[in-house]
Amino acid sequence: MNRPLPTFLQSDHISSRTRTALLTRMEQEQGQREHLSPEAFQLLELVCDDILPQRPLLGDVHLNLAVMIDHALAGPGDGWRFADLPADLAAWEDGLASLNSYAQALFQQNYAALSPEQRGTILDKAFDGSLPDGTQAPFSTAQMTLWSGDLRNQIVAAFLAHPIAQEQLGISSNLTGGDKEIQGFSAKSLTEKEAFEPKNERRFLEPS
Amino acid sequence: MMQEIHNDFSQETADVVVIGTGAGGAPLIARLAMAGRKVVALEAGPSFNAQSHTPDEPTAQELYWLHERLSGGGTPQAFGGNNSGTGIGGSLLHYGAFLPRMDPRDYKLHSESGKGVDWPFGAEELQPYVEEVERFIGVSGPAHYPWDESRHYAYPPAAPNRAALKMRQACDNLGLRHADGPLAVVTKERDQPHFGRREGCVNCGACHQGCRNGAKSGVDNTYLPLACAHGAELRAGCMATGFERDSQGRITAVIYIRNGREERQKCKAVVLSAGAVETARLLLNNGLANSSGQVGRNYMTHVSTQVWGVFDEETLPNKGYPSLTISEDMLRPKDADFAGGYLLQSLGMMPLTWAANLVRADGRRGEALSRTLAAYNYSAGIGMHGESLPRDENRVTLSDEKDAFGLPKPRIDHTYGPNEEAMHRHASRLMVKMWESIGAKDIRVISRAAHMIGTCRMGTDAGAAVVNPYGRSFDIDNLWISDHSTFPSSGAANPALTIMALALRTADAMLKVV
Repeated sequence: MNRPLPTFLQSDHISSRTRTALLTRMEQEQGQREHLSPEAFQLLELVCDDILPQRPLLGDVHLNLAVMIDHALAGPGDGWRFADLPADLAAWEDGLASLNSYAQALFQQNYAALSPEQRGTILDKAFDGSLPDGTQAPFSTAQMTLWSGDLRNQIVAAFLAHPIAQEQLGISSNLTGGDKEIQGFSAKSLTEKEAFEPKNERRFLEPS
Repeated sequence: MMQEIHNDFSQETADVVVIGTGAGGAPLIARLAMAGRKVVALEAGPSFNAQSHTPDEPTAQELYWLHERLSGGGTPQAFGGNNSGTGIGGSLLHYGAFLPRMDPRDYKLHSESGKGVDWPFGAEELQPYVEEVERFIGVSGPAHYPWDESRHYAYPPAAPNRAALKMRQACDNLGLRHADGPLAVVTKERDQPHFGRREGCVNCGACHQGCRNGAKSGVDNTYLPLACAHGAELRAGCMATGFERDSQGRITAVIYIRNGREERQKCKAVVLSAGAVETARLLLNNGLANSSGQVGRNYMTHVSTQVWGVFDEETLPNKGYPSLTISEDMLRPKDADFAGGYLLQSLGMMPLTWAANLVRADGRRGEALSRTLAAYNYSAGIGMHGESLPRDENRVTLSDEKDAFGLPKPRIDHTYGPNEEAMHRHASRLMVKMWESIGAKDIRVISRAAHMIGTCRMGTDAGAAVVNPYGRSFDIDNLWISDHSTFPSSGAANPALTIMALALRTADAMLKVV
């Protein structure tokens, strides 16, 4: 299914390099899992929706954040990782597998079988370090806290990097200027939008 | 416009090889070249075309140092953005260009408080260099700087965005003085010697993703063109890995990897300007210049807590210079339970950076997180940069893991001490109060550290410092360091201006002996 192209991509306030990067990202988001194991990937899809429900923001469009993350994990990275976590791809396999381990420890079922509230409990406890110590899991509770930050960061980063999310949230950050002229934003417009910027269509839609 | 490379000294003996072309390297490269020295600068990264910089944050990561670092300790620091860069021009390609001067009291913190250390000289020593840098690169700022009446900035302030206006209002409510901050951004067209025309700032907000029109004063559009015009050779894509030495231990050549092949550049002297992590890593990996045992120690950051809130009207955080409003009133707060102090600045921010800070520090998820992201265009922040005391255990070491060059990856251990925790609490209370005073909703405190400082401290005692007060190694007399790794203490100010000023001072000292 092809995505509708956000209109801001046609603006003369965006450079061709930036436009190409965004179009490539849209294409990539429609791709397939390449790096994570099938089990980890399936779990990641669920976790992405648990961390960041998209319906209130995008309505019927649902971005494949798990695919975007899967591809990013094999990329050059962002120049660092927590010393107490393994290299990125291995960390994500371990982190996702650990969600099941801790789900078993707390609720005697795998993560995917839990209720949304129970899944939320796992994610919250992972973030704040209150998962049960001593659980047999690839990651310790301390490692889960570190990885939770990476997890949430990758999810929101994938989402906000997508031009559809940018358009729906009215974000003009890529409209700094075109190829011929680097227009920027007029000094008078800094507190209100100019005509070429996407509107705040979805400040927040209540879940249906 | 990028400087053209005219010289090729690869078959000659250079007078000086400089490793790194950022704030620490570039001013010194220019100074030495202008004095007729044969200078080769080795830059690990590529040469970028400024017009091709992109505000797309994932793509703009090309400006970051992406060789993996391992971050440990009690408050492990996020690297990537907001600290080290790569490419001709170094971290200044992506720096925020907020250019406060280091406060004179911060040079003497130990004398004042018994905590931290003093610099081996005072602010007055660096002042002429600070002013020279400001003049040469182009800095904008207010007509009257409330904390220093003698100060003059060449360009009028940038246009305020909503965050800047909100912070002004909050400062007024709490009785804090505020001003438009000093920015390494020209707000009118400028003819830069040996570079050409730089346009005035167009409020695009993407300083951290690379300035496309030359308004931001980096070194790619200032000191490096000057250096090239005077015969310096900038060699991109060269990752320095080691050194050749003579029987006296003096360095005779720098070994580096270019296109997967090892090459050598013969030289009479070497300057390390690779930054707090890479400078220390290079020395540690080669077992050099460390008779003091201080290489890698006293790694410092800035306490850089942020407070964000949501407003009823649009704030449009990606538009305009991101952090225009400054207050220096907290450099020595009367009710402080800590040594040193902090600067305050308003915060707009690009969306991914904003969200990354948020989710690493705040546990919200689910609909609450969706709601928060939807409020991006209604969000504004205040941030701080505060003194971080040197601590022996905060340090850069070599890990057991190897990188693509076969070199040990650096490990950086960073833990806030009681002083940093106390400052974080003080600033959080104040910034929350500020945002409450103007009706911000959903106020949240984001604890984070930024910048990289220390690891090769300068001092007068060869047993307790790596380099002397001019940046010269105590152990190897033709080895110098010019970057923030020599800072004995962090001060509160963003480090770029002090780094550039120190670089000129080190160059002047070198010219007497090289």
